[in-house]
Amino acid sequence: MTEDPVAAARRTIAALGPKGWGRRALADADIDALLAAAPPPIEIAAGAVLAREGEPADRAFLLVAGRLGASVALGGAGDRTVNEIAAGEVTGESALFLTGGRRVATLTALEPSAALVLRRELFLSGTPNPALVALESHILAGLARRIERTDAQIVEAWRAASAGGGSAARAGLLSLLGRTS
Amino acid sequence: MSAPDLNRHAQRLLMAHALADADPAPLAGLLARCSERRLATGHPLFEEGEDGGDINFLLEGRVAVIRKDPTGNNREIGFWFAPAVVGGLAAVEGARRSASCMAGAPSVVATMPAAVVREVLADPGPAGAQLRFILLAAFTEVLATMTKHLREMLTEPPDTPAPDIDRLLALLHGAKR
Repeated sequence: MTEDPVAAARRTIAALGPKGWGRRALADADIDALLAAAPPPIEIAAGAVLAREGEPADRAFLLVAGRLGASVALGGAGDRTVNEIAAGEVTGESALFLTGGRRVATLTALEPSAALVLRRELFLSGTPNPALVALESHILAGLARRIERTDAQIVEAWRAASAGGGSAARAGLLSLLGRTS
Repeated sequence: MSAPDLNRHAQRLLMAHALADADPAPLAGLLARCSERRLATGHPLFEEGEDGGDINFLLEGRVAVIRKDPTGNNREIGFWFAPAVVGGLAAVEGARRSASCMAGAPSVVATMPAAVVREVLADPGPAGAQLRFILLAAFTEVLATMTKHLREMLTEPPDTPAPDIDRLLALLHGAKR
């Protein structure tokens, strides 16, 4: 990774402004305030594990550079890669907005990567900041898209099941796993 | 609705969305901007396919979630129980309603009009922050519950009967069965 992780985080957050509900460019001061309220962005070497399935979940990650793989353990059947997380995406949101949860997948860097660590306290600070609104908007939109895609695939499975294709319905639903976690 | 009632409903909504320690005043202020609807059992809240910019806070009672099945027949797939946010997904996405909802018991709903929803979601202040957090918590819970169920399906024996689609849809709508 050649770009400084802080610069990558700044660039990633700046890109969220025009897409969020405010639909306007974010002021540098607002981006700085958001970065100051979070721990410094972390670098993750290729192959390194960022979070392990089953661990208590107390933080989420805004990936600002690189790519992560999400895998789940299937007991005797080994591990199954269920998703890839690209730069700009947030993963592990349940740690922010639910309490007492555990990681449902292991996150491994597929290439040199960097992430901004997001903790629940960031979203409860009470300090008005348009950059935080843009980040929340980004997370909400991502969750909504995943729910909509899941809904569409369940409806497909519903059609398959009603036509007597129980196993096809099951296979279609299981392919959803990486997209809901 | 009186100020103490608004505060009480706001407190219950916050507790249901992992914000038990939050000050209820900002959300109570938002509820005061909503129109209050008292629904008799069987009264529709909204229909599948309608534009969905409003957000409905279910304050009392329960609401049935109804989807059209592949043959076009309505199926009751689950219930929302108060306190809950009903229809938040369509409001965030500016999408159409993916299900119909009707009162499954005498219910009280506070409806936030689409224009207010858009204004509040863009508001960096405490009211906007609470509404966004509630929606984030609701969506996250839906996906976490769905993931848990899919994980269980992964380890089911191969001769398990076809998946219970009604249950999956109920989970996805955040409804209970």
